Amino acid sequence: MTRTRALGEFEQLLLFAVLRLGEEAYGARIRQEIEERVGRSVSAGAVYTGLDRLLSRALISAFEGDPTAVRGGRRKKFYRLEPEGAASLAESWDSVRTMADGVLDRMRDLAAVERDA
Amino acid sequence: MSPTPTPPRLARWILARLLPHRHCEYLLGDLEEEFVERHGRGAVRARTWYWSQALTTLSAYPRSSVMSSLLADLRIALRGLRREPGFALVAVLTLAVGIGAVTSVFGMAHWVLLRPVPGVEAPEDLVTVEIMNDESDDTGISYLNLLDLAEGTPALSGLVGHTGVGVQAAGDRLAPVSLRAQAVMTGYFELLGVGSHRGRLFTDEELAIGSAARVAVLTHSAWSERFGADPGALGATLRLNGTPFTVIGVTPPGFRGTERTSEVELFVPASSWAELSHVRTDYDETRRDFGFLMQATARLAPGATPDEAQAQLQAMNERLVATYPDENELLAQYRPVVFAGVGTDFRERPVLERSVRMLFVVVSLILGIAAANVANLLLLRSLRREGATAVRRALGGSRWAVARLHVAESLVLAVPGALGALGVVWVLNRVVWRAGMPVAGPLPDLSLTPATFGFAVVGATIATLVCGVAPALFAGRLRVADRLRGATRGSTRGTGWTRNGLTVLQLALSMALLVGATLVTRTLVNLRNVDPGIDASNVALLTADPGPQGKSNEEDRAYWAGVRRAIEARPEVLAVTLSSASPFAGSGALIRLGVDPEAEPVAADVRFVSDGYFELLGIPRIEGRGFRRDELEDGTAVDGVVLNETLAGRLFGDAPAVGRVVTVQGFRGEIRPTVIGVVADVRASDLREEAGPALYQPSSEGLGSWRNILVRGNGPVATWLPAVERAVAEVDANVPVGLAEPLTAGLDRALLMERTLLRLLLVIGGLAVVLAGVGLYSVVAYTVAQRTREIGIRVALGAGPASVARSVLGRTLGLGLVGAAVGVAITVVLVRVLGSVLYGVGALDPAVLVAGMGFLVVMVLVAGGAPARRALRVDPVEAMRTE
Repeated sequence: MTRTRALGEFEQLLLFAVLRLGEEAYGARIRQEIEERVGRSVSAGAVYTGLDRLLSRALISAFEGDPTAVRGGRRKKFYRLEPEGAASLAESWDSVRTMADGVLDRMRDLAAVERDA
Repeated sequence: MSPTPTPPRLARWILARLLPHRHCEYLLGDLEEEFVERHGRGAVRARTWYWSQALTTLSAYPRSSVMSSLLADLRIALRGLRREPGFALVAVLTLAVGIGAVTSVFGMAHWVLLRPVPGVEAPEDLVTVEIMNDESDDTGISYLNLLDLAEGTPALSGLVGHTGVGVQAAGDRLAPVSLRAQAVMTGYFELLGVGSHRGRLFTDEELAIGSAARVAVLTHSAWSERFGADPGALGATLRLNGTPFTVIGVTPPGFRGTERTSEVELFVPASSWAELSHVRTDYDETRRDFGFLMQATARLAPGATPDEAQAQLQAMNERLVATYPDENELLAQYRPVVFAGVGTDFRERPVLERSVRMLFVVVSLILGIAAANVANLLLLRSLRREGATAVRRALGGSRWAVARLHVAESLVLAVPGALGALGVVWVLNRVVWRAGMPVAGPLPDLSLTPATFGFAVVGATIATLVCGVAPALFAGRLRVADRLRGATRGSTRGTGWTRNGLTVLQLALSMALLVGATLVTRTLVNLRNVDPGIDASNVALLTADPGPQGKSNEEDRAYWAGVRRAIEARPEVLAVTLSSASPFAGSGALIRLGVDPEAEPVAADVRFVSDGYFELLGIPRIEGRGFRRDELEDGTAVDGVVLNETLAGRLFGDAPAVGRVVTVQGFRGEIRPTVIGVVADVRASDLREEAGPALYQPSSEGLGSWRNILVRGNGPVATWLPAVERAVAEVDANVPVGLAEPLTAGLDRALLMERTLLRLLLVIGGLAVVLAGVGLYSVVAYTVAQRTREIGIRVALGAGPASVARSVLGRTLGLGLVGAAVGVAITVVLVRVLGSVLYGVGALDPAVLVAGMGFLVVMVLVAGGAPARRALRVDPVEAMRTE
């Protein structure tokens, strides 16, 4: 059974990041994770607005942490992947994988043409 | 342990202000944490990173929450104003008039006083050097003397002489035309920092003393207008006053010489001046006593002041007089004087200052009225909206939120206000300024630029804010609870004085404006009624100058004889006469004459006139006679002069003047003519001043041609002038006709400033009065609305309509009278400031003041009339139910 709305690409990255980071899944870490792993520069604002959208669809939940000195006395907001969110993510991942099935080699060859050109 | 690095404060502050509340804390914390991490790897990179994060983060929140508050405020403001279109309209109009008038007048004042001469480099370092004597006459100086002066003045990095020369140009592609030309010394263009646009400028050799180079440089506008910007004009030959010159270059667009009031079209070497002016051959520019350069422009050396330059120049001047006593005999009576800036004739300054003073006065009045009006409107509005404000505050809105709403409202009013201001500027341009300013020459570019619009918007916003804030400061404190309960009175405590004060101010200023307009009208009427001393009806003035053609004396006489014949042949012409200057203009030439060798010579304006001059102009003869045609036409110099009354009085007192001999220090030595007549005085075109001493001489050969032709015709000038003009032009194809206009045109030009001022006062004053009336109306209407309950009770208790009307109008009338009293005070100040602009009127002119007050009362009654009528229709039952 499919969910009502598919996940956007950035939303998928966010969810994966939250999943990876587990207990350490708060704004700064999420942003850095995506930036380092994917190699794309991401603004904090984009992260937060994206997480807001996921929150509003109950795919993730949030809870507050303690303030620390290094944050100038400000609190952290941690995020946790909800079952609903994991299911959506799995579905997205499966969709892509299904479409990619058997054509990955062709894809890489074509990409190589572009790269070597 | 080193302290924790902090991220860039400004970026953090911006984020803190603009981020939505729900993310603000966490996001800022994240950024700070990461900043500290990165700071360890490089402080500069960390800061850069923080800034880029700040900017990209903000852009990730498109409109949603950052801008929403401002947009919401704007929307609320718009809605509120739409519900009160009358208020909005009046407020916008008031802003438009106030800001528009200020913008326009400041633009004009800036141009009149400060406009730098265009196209020159660093105009603030340029100065004008005049050679003046104690009576403020100025004279010319010779090339050699200027060179020496320049050398002896280290405070000036350059000093260059130049002078105007009348040029009639003709060429293969150019019909004969008069051009305004300047003859310039070496270093002229370098001093001004002007390069060539096409071709080249003069070389030092070409401009040197004694040079025989006959080359000319055109200004860009002359090249465009006269030659159609044809590149072929370069290298072409132009006959200037008969001498062939080669055009070698064009100056860049915008540069038009150093005179503010006239546009130079052509530059020639100073050493060609004598040839162009057809002076006697024994004079040329290599002589030290040939003082033909009437103007000198200089540039201050770095760090030097005009006073230093002047001191050095005067010291050098004295050395020159001592070293060359014979050649510099005339120069001994004069001293160099330095004036900062270029382009303004020092004689013109008083007129300019007068104009600017009047402009500022008018602007202040308008601004006052506009500000008071807007302030009052905003105050009333905030009072009316107290209910809504109370609700907002009760629901937790902070003062800041209410204030933000005010700002939004100011913006919503300010933008159309600014647009309206531009409209007002446009109207003022057409109606008031374009008709002419007292300074001749091209008008400033009064078109609307983005800068003007920006200024207007900013000005309007600030004005609205100030006008909105000020009354709020004076307003009573808002008692939220009372207001919510619905009490309509009491919570306005403390605003009554402000409202009434503002209204009184508006009324007073309006009255001052109107009185000002009346005074200027009276001035105009008085000036028009001044008898200039001549009968200018049906008289025309034409000018023609055969001088630049270099005619010999016989040719010159033949030309003028031909001109007279041609004109007299026309049937509508009753009389023709010739003169060296327009009757209204100062001739610009002064001459010294006396009777007693011991006594101080009298300076008098001298003009040359032909026979029939006094009769044609209706100048009454007091003694003796005028000149006769036969005396003039056969070329014998007439050994006679005519004095005007003032001069005769100065020289001879009450004794008869005819037959006496006077000693005249003329242009070439002394002559001793006999007085043959005395005529009545003629006022110069500035009709305010009494006539000075004047001397009339018959033309003396070689001193320059007549130039001015006066014609009296049968009937209005317009009916016969074109035909006469054609007749004159046909006499000699090489000599163009300059002016051809009714003589009264000169008079009208002289009154230009007064007429412009009057127009300005009427237009702006009219608008301001309307606005003040509307403002007054709002105040009265509001008061009546407030007092509805009270009025209802009084009617219920049997008060008749007359009594109700009286009580409403009574207070209004009170305001009006106080306004009138204040208005009188302001008018007195106004008159003092207007000072010399007015003529024949005093501040305490009772008729004017009474009229002003009367008008005010009428306006008050009209403005208060409608609310009063509404008060009469108040239903007492309804009224008492209102709480």
